Amino acid sequence: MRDRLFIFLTCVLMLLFLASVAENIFSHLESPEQYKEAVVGSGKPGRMLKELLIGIEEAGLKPYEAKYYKVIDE
Amino acid sequence: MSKIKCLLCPTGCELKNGERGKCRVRVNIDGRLQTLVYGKPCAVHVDPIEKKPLFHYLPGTSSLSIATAGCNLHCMYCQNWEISQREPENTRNIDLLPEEVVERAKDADCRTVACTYSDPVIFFEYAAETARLAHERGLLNVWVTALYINPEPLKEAVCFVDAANIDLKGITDKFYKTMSKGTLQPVLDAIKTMKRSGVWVELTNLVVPTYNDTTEDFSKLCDWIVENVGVEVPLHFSRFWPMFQLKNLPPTPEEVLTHAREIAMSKGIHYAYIGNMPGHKGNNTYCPVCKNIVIARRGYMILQYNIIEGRCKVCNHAIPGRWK
Repeated sequence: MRDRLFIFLTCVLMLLFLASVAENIFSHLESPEQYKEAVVGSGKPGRMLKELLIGIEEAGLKPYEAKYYKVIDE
Repeated sequence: MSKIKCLLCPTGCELKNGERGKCRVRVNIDGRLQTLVYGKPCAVHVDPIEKKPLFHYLPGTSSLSIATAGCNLHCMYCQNWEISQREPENTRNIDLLPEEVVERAKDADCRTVACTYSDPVIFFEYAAETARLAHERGLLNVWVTALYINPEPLKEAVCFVDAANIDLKGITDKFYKTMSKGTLQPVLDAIKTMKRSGVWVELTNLVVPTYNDTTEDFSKLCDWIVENVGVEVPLHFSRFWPMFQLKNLPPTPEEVLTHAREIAMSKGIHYAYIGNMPGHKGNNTYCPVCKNIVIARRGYMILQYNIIEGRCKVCNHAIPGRWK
């Protein structure tokens, strides 16, 4: 009985350990894409205005006039 | 359709119609720059003001703290990356107009409204209107910010910000470029401007193992502070926790933070603190003259308070800050 309990606990600990290793590996794999997304942007320059507006509306966001900008190219 | 250039921060994004700035929350819609986060915070909490951290400003009071998605820096170790490095379409936002923010602050008996967690620079319009209404209702305004902002909007901000905790992330341009995708000089200039404008300023340096944790880093940082904003500006050395892109690093060792604090004090900085390490003597405020504890803290909790009318209870030395 004691031996079975010991084996059970060992298996549980082993699973937890493997889960934590997997989490570290997969978060590392995700990171370069996340980082690129953060630095470079969505990777979709010139996204259609229509798509943007649909996305904003679906998310329940409302554009509001911002300050501090200038028109540089008509 | 018109291309526009955002003038809010040194990044200076140039946006074609339908494009979004690097902060993720400002977009060009038909030749006009629009913010997507006005009245749409994704974080609203009542925090002790010590959490900002502000140790010399209305100690023991609560601050109604708000943030929206987005940020104009992209720090690899961001402790709030789940909101700062996301578009507002991908965060859980609530509707909370500026007047409602102030109402919540009053209901919760807060003395201040804090714009924090991500960065108030990128939700500037929302922060500004909230601040205006907060003043009307007798509340004070706090910014917790990296202060990566251009001079013109900063000139407006110092009119409504009463106290700020500013991240001075590093003291080299290389650090800002590598770790945050920004530059150093605009931050240094903005800190000086904010201090000169009469805003109560405290600085935070998050110590990231192997990136900005050398004796030289601490010395240069402290030298700049002493020369440019003075020895009475509180400086918080904050402990890094593995987060976002830097999960492979360990938390900052206690001895490194203790060393940083010792360097600051040896350079003459009167109020050097350790953050994210409850129980460290660096949580306390000491009188720079008689060396007695004027405020004892454990984390955000005040254990002893020995300031009377803004002065040390023992030797009567004036301790800078706003105490009531």
